[in-house]
Amino acid sequence: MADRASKETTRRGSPPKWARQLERRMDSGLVSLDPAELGLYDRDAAPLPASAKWAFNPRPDAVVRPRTADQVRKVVRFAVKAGVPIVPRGAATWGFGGAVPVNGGIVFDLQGLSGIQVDRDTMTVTAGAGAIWRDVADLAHRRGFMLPAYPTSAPGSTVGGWINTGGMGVGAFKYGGIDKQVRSMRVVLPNGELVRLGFDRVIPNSSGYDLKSLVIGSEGTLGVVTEATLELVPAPESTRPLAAGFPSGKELGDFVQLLARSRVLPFHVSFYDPAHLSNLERLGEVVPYGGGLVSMMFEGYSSVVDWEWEAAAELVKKAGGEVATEEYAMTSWDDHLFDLRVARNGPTLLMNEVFVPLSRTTEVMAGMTRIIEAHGVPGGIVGTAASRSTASLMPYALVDERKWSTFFAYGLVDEFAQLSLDMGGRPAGVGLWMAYQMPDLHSGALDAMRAVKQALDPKNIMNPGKLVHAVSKFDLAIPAGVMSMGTKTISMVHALLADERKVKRSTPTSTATKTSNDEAEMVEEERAEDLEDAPDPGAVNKVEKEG
Amino acid sequence: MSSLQSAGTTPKEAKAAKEATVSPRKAADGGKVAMVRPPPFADELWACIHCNYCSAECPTAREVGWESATPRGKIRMFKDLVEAWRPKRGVTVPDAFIRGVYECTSCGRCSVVCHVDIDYLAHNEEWRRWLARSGCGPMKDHEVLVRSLANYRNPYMSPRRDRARWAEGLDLPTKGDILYFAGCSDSYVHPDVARRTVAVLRALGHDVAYMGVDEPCCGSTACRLGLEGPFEDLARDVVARVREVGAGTIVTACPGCSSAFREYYPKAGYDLGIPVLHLTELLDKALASGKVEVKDRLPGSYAWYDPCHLGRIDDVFEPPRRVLAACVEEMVDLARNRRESLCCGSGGGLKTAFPDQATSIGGRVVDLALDAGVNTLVTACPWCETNIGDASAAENAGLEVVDLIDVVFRAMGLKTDTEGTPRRRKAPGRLSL
Repeated sequence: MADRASKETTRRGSPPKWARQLERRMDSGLVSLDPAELGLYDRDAAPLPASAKWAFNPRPDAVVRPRTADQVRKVVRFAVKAGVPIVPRGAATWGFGGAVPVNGGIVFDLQGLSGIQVDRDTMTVTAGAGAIWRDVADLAHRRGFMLPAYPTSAPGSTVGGWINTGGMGVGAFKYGGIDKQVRSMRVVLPNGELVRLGFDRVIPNSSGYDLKSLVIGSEGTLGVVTEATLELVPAPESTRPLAAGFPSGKELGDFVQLLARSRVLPFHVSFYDPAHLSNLERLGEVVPYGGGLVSMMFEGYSSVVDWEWEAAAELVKKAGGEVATEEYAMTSWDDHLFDLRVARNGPTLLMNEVFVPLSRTTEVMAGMTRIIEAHGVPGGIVGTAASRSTASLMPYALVDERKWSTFFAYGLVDEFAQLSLDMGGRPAGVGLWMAYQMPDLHSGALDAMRAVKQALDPKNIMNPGKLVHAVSKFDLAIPAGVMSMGTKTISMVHALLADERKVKRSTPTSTATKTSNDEAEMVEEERAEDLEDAPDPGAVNKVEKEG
Repeated sequence: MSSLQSAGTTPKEAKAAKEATVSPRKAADGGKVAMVRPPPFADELWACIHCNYCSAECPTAREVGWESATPRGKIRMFKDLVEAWRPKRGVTVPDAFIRGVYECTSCGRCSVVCHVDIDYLAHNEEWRRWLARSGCGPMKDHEVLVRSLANYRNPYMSPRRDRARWAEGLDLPTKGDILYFAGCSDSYVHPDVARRTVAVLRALGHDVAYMGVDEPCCGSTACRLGLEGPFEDLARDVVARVREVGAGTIVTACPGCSSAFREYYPKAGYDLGIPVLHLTELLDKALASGKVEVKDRLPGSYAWYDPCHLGRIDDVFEPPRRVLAACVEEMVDLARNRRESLCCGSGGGLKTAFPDQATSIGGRVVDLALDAGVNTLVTACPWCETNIGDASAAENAGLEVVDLIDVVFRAMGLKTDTEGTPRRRKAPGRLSL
């Protein structure tokens, strides 16, 4: 498979022969072999530690920017013949390495497939894989509709990207994620054929295998999605945001559960732990509720919206929270696509995204807080209620990649994932970094998945080394035990270094960590001691410079 | 040291760079060698989270597509350059970076949409100054523009003696309360806008003066291209001539000029000493005080288009809307407006070096206007008027693009003054910005 490519690319500086052939065969301007350009396609949103290059060769040998599905077919056929891996890429805004090559090859930058068309008759929008979600939402709005759901990264992410990562985002609580939205899609399979999966004009629930659902969340391992037809809903008569502050993470968690068990149906529910709010405070923002914040949006007929708003406000009070002013609620809603602005405090953001049972939200958040605290770095948690049963949590740590010790902080990301598994949850994605966890996640079903992959992609050219097969650039499988042990070790080293750094904290005490758990109580005691030592009570999450 | 110079350059280095005629040295493996030390990789740039918000909004990144044209891509390339630079060897700047830095209309949308609040535009402009000082920039296609600024004091390669042809027959004095700074574009490309501006200002009771053939370029073109020497030369000239006129206020109808006066001049230490108003702000004040007598509101529906340098850069959003709404039957906003307004594609030297990109970017605004159901788009920037007009013509879209002053002029029932009006000069496409 990829052997031929990998051997040729070892000669640094000169492109492999196949890449020159590809350049000649394609229209001018569609293929880049420029080293400066190729170097920019070796990462996604996650900062790539230099050491990752020991195991992987993330720099592609060629980048292709197709503008039509036919050009995609042409390149796939070429790649099959040449035995070169293909890595489909949207806007590379994910953090699991799904669009990062394991060992060079061709990166397909699909942002050129960006056409968008709204069909009023079928109430659908058909968008190219590279269309930006914000543009799709804008056009739908101008035609009198709205998208039932879109990613929290909508201003920068693509339709194809969210399909391939099986996204759950804004609107998922009410309407479901991307899996509920896709009516049909066009996919170039690894044999070079362009096929339609699903039906454009009617719901695709039967009359054949549901291959469309197989592709959703497949992380580019089964084919290249070139276009998708998505369902729309009529634009609402009215919208109304609601924000609520809570004294601590416990009350916040109680509210989210009360809400999920009521008949109130917000469009979107997001929540923020006290540490995240204090990070916002460090940015100079006004944070009226430091103990925890829930931000919601209601939409629909105005009478229904008002009823739901009042009912949710009652639940807020019942859980011990306070309803914020509508002005603050609107500000909070306006920021819902900008939650990661806290990165400015880092300046490096290390994060994970996990799904956990909604009933265990408080418990998981407390565990994540303990992990962050053990590492002695600032961090926080941003969450959304993905459905009545499931919460999506984005725990993050703010580090500084310019410091040598930051390498060890990467283990922290793995700890978040492990915690979610222990609590009956799962990582939100697999990609490159979590592929080794697949045996734990699926046990026997993984063989069936590999059989599907083998059937559709016998030459294993479609995004190899991801999801179902964890491999290094040497084409050797990465054993789960080794990867897990490695991440645990570096995580342990980082936690030990945290003691050295003498972390001083004066964050307002979070009852998110006040569980009956003995360990949590110990953390509280330690924090109280730290508070006594802290010279500047105004400083939040202050990390002293390494000696 | 001018504050426009990069913080990473010592005064000695800056002086040496300015004095030396730096001839770019081609690197063996492509690109050019920059001997001048790059400015430091700013702390805030480390916070880039690769979210693509800027790139999805950047008009040129959308046109070009490749990562090297995106702000996030350029940030990464610049970081590598800073790390690779050595005192005696310099650093090889890849062509992809040079091209990428000049593939920017300086619309500032990236800075507004940035997830982590990075003022990307300021960095891009700083990199342009560094490239110019190292002899690695601007682009070859900009050379004619640079020569034109030096020889003709305008970017259009038009003779200095023609500068004030627009004012023939108007009997404009060179002393007065209000100095009307016509700017290069209205002087040479849109003379009718300049004449109507004077007519309206007079109708509002102002004592209008102008600089005549001596009016130099404001320097915004040079400044946005990173050409410190030519900019400072023009700015010095402008400041001296403004003092000569001795007016109380400067009014200009060009956001390029007004934003240069308000943003770049103070940064570089040039003080005009009197307030600067964009024409739309003056009209808004006149409207509020009841001086604008609208005789007949123009029939039909008109859309307002926010020029980047008037809106996002100078924060003037509502005044032109109030004026337009008072002069027409119906004013509509485009779907993308105010801080979210789409760029016309003309700024930052893009139209000079990459004319096709500029027209294509303008086409997005044309589509937006047609989608809003209007046939006339009103703006208050000569660059926008020219480029969106070009895009409309290229698409045969039939969209008319006019300056706000045309609408005000007609709504006030002022007479068209054709006598002595010079023939409208066609904009030399590759030279306009």
